[in-house]
Amino acid sequence: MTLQTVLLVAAALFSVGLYGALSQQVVVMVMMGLELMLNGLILAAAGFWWFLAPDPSGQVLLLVIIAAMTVEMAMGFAVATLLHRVRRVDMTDMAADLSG
Amino acid sequence: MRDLAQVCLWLLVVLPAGVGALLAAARRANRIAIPISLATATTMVGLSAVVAAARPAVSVPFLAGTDLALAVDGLAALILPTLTVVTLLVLLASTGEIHESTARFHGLMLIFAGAVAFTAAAATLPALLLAWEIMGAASYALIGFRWRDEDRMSAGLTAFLTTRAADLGLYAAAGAALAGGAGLALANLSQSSPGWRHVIAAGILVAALGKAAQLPFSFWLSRAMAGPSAVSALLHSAAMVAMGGYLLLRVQPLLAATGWAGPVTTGFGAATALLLAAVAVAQRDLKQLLAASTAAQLGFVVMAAGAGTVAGGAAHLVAHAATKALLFLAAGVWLTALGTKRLAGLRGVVGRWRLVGWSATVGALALAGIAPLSLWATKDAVLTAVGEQSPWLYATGLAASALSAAYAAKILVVIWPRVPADRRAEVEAHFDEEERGNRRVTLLQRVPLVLLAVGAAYAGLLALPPLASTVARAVGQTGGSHASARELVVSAAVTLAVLLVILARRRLPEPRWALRWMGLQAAASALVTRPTLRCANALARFDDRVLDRAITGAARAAVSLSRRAARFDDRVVDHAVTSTSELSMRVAARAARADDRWLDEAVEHLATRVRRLGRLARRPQTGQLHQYYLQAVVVLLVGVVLLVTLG
Amino acid sequence: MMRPLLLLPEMLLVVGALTALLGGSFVPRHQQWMIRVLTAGVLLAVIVTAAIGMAGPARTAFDDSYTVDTATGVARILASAATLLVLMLAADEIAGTARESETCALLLFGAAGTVLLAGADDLLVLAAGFLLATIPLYGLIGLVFTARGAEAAMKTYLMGALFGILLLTGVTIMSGLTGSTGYAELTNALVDVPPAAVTGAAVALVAGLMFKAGGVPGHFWVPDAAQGGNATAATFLTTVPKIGAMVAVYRLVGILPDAVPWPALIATVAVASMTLGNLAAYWQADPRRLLGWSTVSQVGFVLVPVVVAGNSDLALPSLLVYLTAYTATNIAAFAVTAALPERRDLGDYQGMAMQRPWLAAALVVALLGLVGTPPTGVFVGKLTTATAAWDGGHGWLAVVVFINTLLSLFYYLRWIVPTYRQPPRDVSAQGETRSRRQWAPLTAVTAAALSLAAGLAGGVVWTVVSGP
Repeated sequence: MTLQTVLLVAAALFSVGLYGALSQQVVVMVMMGLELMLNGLILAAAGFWWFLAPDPSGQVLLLVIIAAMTVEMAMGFAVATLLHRVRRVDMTDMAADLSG
Repeated sequence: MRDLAQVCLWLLVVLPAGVGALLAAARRANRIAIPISLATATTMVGLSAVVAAARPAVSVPFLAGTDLALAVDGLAALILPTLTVVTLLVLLASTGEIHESTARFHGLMLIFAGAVAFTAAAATLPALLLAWEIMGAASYALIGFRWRDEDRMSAGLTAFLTTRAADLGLYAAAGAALAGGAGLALANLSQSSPGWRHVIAAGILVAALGKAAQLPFSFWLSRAMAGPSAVSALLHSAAMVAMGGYLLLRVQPLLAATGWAGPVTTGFGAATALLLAAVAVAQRDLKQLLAASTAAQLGFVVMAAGAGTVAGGAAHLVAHAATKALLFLAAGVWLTALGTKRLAGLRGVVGRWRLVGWSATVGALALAGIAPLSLWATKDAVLTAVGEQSPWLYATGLAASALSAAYAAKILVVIWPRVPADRRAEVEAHFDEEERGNRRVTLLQRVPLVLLAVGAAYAGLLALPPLASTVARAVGQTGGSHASARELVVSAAVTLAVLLVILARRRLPEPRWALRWMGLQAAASALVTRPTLRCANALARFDDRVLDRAITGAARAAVSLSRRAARFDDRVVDHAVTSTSELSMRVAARAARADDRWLDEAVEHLATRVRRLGRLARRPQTGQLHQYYLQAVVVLLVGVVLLVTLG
Repeated sequence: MMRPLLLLPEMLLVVGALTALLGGSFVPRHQQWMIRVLTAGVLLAVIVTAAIGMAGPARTAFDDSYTVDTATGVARILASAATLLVLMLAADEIAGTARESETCALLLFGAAGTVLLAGADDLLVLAAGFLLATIPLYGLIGLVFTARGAEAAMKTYLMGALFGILLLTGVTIMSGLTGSTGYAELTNALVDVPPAAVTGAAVALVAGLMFKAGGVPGHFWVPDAAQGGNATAATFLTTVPKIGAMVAVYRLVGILPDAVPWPALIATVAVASMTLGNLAAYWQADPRRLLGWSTVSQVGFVLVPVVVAGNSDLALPSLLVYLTAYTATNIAAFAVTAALPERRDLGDYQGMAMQRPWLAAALVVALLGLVGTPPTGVFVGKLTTATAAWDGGHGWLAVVVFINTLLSLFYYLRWIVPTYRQPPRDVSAQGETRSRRQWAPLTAVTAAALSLAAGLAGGVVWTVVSGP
């Protein structure tokens, strides 16, 4: 295990997530893509911490990202539920009244 | 000055790729595509001239231990201007051939041109791989340009699969170069450790032979002729095929260092030159003939790389680019005008359009190697060097040049003699058998032909003294490289004799094995294409169910969207227009009293322009979130790339 | 050094938000006005403490991760004052509804987030501030519970999540490159790392902040949310987050080494934002959507002094002056639309001047203010930012600002002209009686007056933001 391997895996996760976020139109699936991107970031941050600067302050970044992930996902499900309740849709392209 | 040249080098690669991507992506840019693409191509010519003169080198860090580096050395300084000029001329001529989806066509051509420029200037293996891949993908898209035609798609696929298979060699070479320890710079490959050196050479050799359509990969070129003629003129003369030969010239020190690779390369080149020349002689279709001849002529370049005469090979590459682009364009002109590319349908075609016919004749004579036209001198520069290595290979090369005189003569025999009145119907029966001809040749189609004819006639000077030694010095070759006087005389005599004999007899043997490209295509079809296609079909069937539904849904959504947009337009725009026109009427009336008339008009003009921009600015705000995502990500990526490269 | 007391205003905001949230569940619905009063009290207290804090010298708290200087002080006051105005305007919409205390809490949280962004002197604080400023927005927009509101919430959320991830990516790369996240250490460490990587991270960070500010390329949600959300949400999200994001961008570019072409990056974003925002606003029919696009263009103007950060002493003061003026003026414009919620088309404003002269006057002041006509505050802002650009050697930016100002005049006039026309014949008050709003017009007039005052007292404002 080297830092390069970890970063490569992280980059792969991030890219797959980005692809998912760009290619999906179901709100929850887009969120899954975003989740994967965050996972890539977590892995990268953990790798940096473990290999470069193994002191406690490096972990704070990790915690911030994890907290961000939790909050974002909770909000995401709230928004998806709202969308479903009000409009009865779960796809982003079916909610496109506001444009131009 | 240095910085300017470096920026020019980046621009040479990035500008066509960027403009091309925009054009290819924009759906409704057809009207403005041609001016934009021609302007870009013209800019590229200027940029290539600058970089050829200043020879800049640039690099950005890429992976640990290697850079993504571009450099213009003597060889690239020779090839880049050729490439850009031919691209410009081909794009000019294509305006007469391509009438639909012009934006996509020009976009792809520009992307392709950018990738080729990248390839030609690449100084490290990663840069080369990147450019090589883009080049391959763009060529696939271009050959299959008329994608509604299944056969053309499969032709594109054949070309793609074959060259891809060969490309794996390049990846093997890259891996071996990493292991070899001399770094990934192309110039350093010959210094890697002896064991790995062989792997690198073999990998590069396979990849280059594949791209250059040398044996045993030649067949893909035949299938690739299904693409538009302008594509053939660029891809299969000046650019992609040539890049195979170019790569070998570039790594010539590596080939020489291994000991075995030089002779093997020469052998492959000689075999291709001879056999594919025979294949060309047997063809009954003009583009097929030209395709086989391309592979054969590239054989000489490959021989040059093997025999160590980089200058001769480069000169041959340039001369061949001009000649073959000319002939492909002429074939394309006839195809769009008459609807046929079969030799039987082109009898006496010179009589219809004199200028096209004369230009094609110059091209054919140059191709034949008739003195003093270009390929005569350049080919002999190669053969002189080969002759110093092995008399057998030299004899093969000489036979190949005799055959090239034969197939060139075949073209002349067809296009020149006037068709007697009683046979005319027979010829005209072939018209429109491939597509509907429009019986017209535009001015824009003629101009490039004449310019290329001049190039085809005079490019040979590169292989004759005094230019030859300049070229040799530029590419870093020591010792003399131009053709010996004896060789020049011998080959001129041989080719002239063959040409005269055939012109007198007006007949040529057409062996069946050669007509069908020696069965290579069938073999490849059975071994490569068909299994792959079957696989793809299975996947497609699986996909159909899913995709179909998606497409139907999308179509429905699009209809309803447009209906909504129309309603929106009616309501809002009407309203806005009425109120603003009222307003502007009032303003105009008041202004007219106070202001001069011209100022008024200018302001009005500007206002119209700005109003139109206002409508345009709202386009990206589609209301579709996934399109917002895509736009944002693309803008950011482009921003990062621009800042990193220009910063 | 910890110095927790330096963060008293931020603590007040967060504690106030929590109190509003918890208190809301214990107070009966018809008495929820108490929560609003509490919120207003908290905001006033923040303004007072921040003003007192500005008198002292610039200091840092929590091991140099948070700066309290003039910029932070101005951001605190602006964010609180803006939130106070939004709260005033919201009274019509939320009084007696089920979501009254929640709205108050979300507004306070959002304000706290934006203040945190403005003071952040450490990438981790920046990330936390971003989250704190962003999450309440989703809630605010979603509270409307209409089809368009839900759509706007969805779009804002998904854009926000993506750009939040980009911001975190930038933070991760920066910390991976240097092993630290504090701005002071980063400034020293970034000089030695490959510029390409720093450029990538800088683009990601700036992109994240551009989402908050509503600038290109993170602008997509702004017009949609301004149109889809209710007046409270629309006003808040186009005004308050920009304050924090702009100051944060200013601080962020300060740490970037010279090898990174950040002036080009910011200048591009600025020009793209102002031009796109102006052009796209041209043909809008919905007044809120028009204002949404206009705020996109305003972001471009505010970014101009950031381009010359470090090159001109005028950069930071002119940025703060512009932000001050913009805050008041933008709230005034939105408050007018909030006062007339039934008029969702520019045509509906025909003859408004006869019916509501004060409101029409506020609208004219606000719109001409957004154009940058003297004597409003934005005029002073535009003048000083253009001067800063000129001073910092980016004269062309000043020219672009001028051209874009001319461009913007047209669409604002499209709104003003019908207002002063004769009212349509069949004037049945257009349902005006249905909901006669009191607070929103008051807010509009107050904010317009503030905007004028900021212009007339430009000299005083300039002295204040130039710091001790």
